[in-house]
Amino acid sequence: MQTNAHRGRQPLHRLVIGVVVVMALGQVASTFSAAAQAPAGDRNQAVVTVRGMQCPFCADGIKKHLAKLTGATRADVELAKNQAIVTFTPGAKVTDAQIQQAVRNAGFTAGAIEWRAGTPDEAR
Amino acid sequence: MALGPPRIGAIVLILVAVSAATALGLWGTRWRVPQAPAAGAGYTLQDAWDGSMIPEGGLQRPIGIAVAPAGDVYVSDERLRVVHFNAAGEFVGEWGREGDGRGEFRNPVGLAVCRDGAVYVSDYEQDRIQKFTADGEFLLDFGRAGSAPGEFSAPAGLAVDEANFIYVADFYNHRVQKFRPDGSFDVVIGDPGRLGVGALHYPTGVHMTGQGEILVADAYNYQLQWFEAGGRPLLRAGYHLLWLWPRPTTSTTGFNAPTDAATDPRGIIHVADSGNHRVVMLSPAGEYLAHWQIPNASSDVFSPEHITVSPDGATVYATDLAGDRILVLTVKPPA
Repeated sequence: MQTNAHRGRQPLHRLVIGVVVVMALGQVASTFSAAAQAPAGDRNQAVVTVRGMQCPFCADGIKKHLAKLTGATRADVELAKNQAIVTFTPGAKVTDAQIQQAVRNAGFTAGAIEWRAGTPDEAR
Repeated sequence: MALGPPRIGAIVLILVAVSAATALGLWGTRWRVPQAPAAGAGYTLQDAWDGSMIPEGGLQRPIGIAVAPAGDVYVSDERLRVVHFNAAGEFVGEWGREGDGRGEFRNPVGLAVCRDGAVYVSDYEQDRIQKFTADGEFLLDFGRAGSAPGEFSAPAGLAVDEANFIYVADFYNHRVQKFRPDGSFDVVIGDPGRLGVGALHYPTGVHMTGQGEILVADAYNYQLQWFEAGGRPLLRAGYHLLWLWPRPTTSTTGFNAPTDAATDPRGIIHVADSGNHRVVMLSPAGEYLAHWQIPNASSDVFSPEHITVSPDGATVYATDLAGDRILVLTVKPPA
């Protein structure tokens, strides 16, 4: 027998299912998005906008976290430009999401990420 | 208008919460602004050392600084080295090179000198501490990356007490760690957090006061905190919204990212209030006395970073990373 209480939970079930579906779609979209933003060809240098890193301890922390990314050969910060610049070995498998997470681990939020061809010297 | 029971309950709950927050916040808040500025207190810029006489190159983004018992000054900089000056600012020597071996650095940030003249250096990148003789001969090292006791995540400021115990501001682990003279772990001081005494948020500096208390520059709680040597929190100084929530301020009631502090023989406290580009002088009780602002400071970089005091208390040295120099300030204590 279906009680009133049971009938009252039906919208809740639909809501839960809806949330799960949206989360799953979001995860799939995120995965595809991250894969799509991986460096291609000779674009091995990521220029990451990071605001509010005037403190040298913070800036060094961002460098430290970014330098730990797989394939990173160098990380620098340009305080005046609010930028962190990470150079990777050619063909390194790194995603924007991984860069964003590294910046988050350093206590900041990454803004736009621009990929370009670069050499370690250009990052200075 | 009559209030129903639910509304009265909510009001009582809010009053209780505000009272509790106020009580919690007041407990341990030592910062007090005197009614009148302290007569005669202040700083005068005596000199600025750029290290241009150093054979291997002048100072480049100096960040760590410490004074030896005899008055010599040690500085760490971006050239991955420790530079040794005498009290007059003359170059005495330097050591360090890039690498992970003995006497090698990736990012030397914090410095401390113990009573026998030995120099400790923290490496922000290597997550270790090295100890050297006064002339740079390697003695020991300890620490590795991690968050377990004895491990570091970006060790910054250092201090050494009378018994040669070492204190490390462990930046990303939001704590201070105490080590025995042989480098073995002793105790953790402070907890990660934003509210209440003992909570630390990105500490960058640590100092032993003449009274044997640990003074921590709790940079991103925008306050100083005092602990007993065993780790029990004592007091704190800084601006707190509603006496509870630590907030940055440009006023003389607090700080904006205080990255280091040092005390002189009189107990006067000198603070590197880096986000405000100033050195702040506090009384031993934590009252504001005076400050000195870096002229034309770059808004892109917080400075000064670390600070130390000459053994006689007459001179304050502070790193000005943005200016590639050491600021040498003459102290005018209150009358």
